[in-house]
Amino acid sequence: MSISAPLLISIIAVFLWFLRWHGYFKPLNLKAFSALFLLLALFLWAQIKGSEFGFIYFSVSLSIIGLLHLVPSKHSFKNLISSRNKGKEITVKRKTKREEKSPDYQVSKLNLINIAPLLLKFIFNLLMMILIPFLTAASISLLLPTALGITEANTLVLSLFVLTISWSLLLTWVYMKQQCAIALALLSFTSIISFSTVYFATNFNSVIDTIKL
Amino acid sequence: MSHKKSLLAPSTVKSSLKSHSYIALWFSALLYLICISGAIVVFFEEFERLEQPHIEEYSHFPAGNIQPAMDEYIQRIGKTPIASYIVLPTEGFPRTHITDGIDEWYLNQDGSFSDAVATPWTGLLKELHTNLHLPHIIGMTLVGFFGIVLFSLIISGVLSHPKLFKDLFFLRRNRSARLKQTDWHNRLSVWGLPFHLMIAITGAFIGLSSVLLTITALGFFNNDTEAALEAIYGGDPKIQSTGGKINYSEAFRQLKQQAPSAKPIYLVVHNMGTEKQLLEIAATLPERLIYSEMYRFNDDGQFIDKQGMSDGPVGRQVSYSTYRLHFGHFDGFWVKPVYFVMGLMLSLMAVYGMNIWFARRPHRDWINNAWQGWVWGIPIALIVSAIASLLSLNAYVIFYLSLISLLIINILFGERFNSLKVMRQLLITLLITLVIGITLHTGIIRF
Repeated sequence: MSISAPLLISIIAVFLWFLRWHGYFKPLNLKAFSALFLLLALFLWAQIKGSEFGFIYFSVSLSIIGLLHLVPSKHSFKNLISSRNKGKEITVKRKTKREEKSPDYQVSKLNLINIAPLLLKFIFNLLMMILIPFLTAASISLLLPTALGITEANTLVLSLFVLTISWSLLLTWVYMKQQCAIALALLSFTSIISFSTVYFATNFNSVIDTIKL
Repeated sequence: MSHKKSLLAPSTVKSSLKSHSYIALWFSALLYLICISGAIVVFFEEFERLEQPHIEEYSHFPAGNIQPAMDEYIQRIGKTPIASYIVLPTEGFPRTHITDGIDEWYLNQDGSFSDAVATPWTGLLKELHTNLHLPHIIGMTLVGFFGIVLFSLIISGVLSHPKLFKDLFFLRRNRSARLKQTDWHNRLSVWGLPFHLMIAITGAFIGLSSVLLTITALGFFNNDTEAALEAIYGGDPKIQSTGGKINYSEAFRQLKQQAPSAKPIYLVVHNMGTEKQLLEIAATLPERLIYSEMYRFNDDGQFIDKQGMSDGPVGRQVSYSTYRLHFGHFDGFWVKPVYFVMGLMLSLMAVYGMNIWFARRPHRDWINNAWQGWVWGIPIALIVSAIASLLSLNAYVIFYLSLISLLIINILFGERFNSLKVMRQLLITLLITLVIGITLHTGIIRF
């Protein structure tokens, strides 16, 4: 069994879970899904028993479930957002009243000393919002040839298109989130898992085959 | 009263709109620059012809004139290049030029050398679109990233407008400026949706090719980019050459035999004069989007093989088709005006999108004027640099001087005069001046 296959399954599982967690995939029963996911992890560990990779895989699977249980659910997010929005409305109302009195054209008085750290923070955030989805998309795209164990034109070009399209989708998704930090954290986590998969698969496949023999 | 349930939840629509606005606010200025330069650069072949109107034009370059031209080229540059190209005349560009990627001359039909290729304004325009005048790899990657941004904006745009297709022809012309801008933004986006998607994906793929290749090489080819490239596009054949003169006439005869419908567009001699010498003839095939098929020949002009761009793995064919699809260089001249109009629509979408945001702001400030300066300044600066180029002035310097001046004038004094009216009049006046200038420069415009 190719060791990249179980990890590909686990990545898909994480995405399914994540969709459900955000209320997009409601028919999915979370408890049943957790149980199945754990069973699958155990089964795959048994299949690749005797190698360090099996243990790593099982630990990663457990940490995925653990993380998803620890991170607040969609409902608590909603509450958080609605309470924040209420606060915002008041601010906006006050602001509008004040602005009604202001002239049409406002001459900005830019203070470069004050704006510099703010600008740096903006640029840093922007880079994070661009680069983390990119790394995740890159790691996902590499999984395809890894899982198939093929590096010829069709698979490689497909994987390049996967990178292009998934980067766009993840960029959109990250900007859609109210809690960007959590979204970025989860994407980072996904990319770490995917990159580890690719690394292990490309470096340890031969070792595992030797052990099995 | 029955309510049809929308496919998308209101919260999804709201967050999509938020995503659309954030991404657009960050990137629309550069996106507009890339889109408008892309729309204009579609006609780069025509611009190159206009910049040097007195170069001999013909439809066939005799194979017998290739070797003497190659010999003179080596003599002129004082070295034997690793790869020497002769770009053959085509319907869109009926001229021949010889280059190693650095030094370039036009060739007359008799094989003699004409003027050096000097198309500064078209070069400026091409480089503005492909790499924003930044170092090649960095600029190209950045432009490729804007393909990602565009794709991302399309997704969030479609998701944030549940009635996008229902309101296909919905224009509120008698309403407020903001509503009019919104309607135009939405209509242009949905009318050109397939084109915009295609441009975004192919643009991202072309622009990010270096990054994509690096990742693939790192992942699967021990950081060997050449090996990754070979896996996708195919490798060179193993040959043993004498390094002697190539029989070009025989190669073209054999090409005609191998692929009667193929139209040669350029030829390249690799490692000239060495034991690795190889002749490749790139040729387009009818009704195919691939950039070209590469036919390989030995010194005697004997056919070795082809690279398999036209009938190799599907992945190879798809990736090699992205170029013509993105440039609009297929079928005939009619495609170019269509791409130009669609490109303008894309640019206008970026402008209308930002205008909606400006209209929602309770006040005006320098950012409004800066945006106006940017939107009008780019086409004006391009026209000014084109006029300057006709007068043998440095097109790059003039372009940036004009753009920066217009931006500063708009930011500092935009509120003191009707900036929009002035910029529009300036654009029209300069456009007329440019047309007169080109007419004088060319004598007769030949198409």
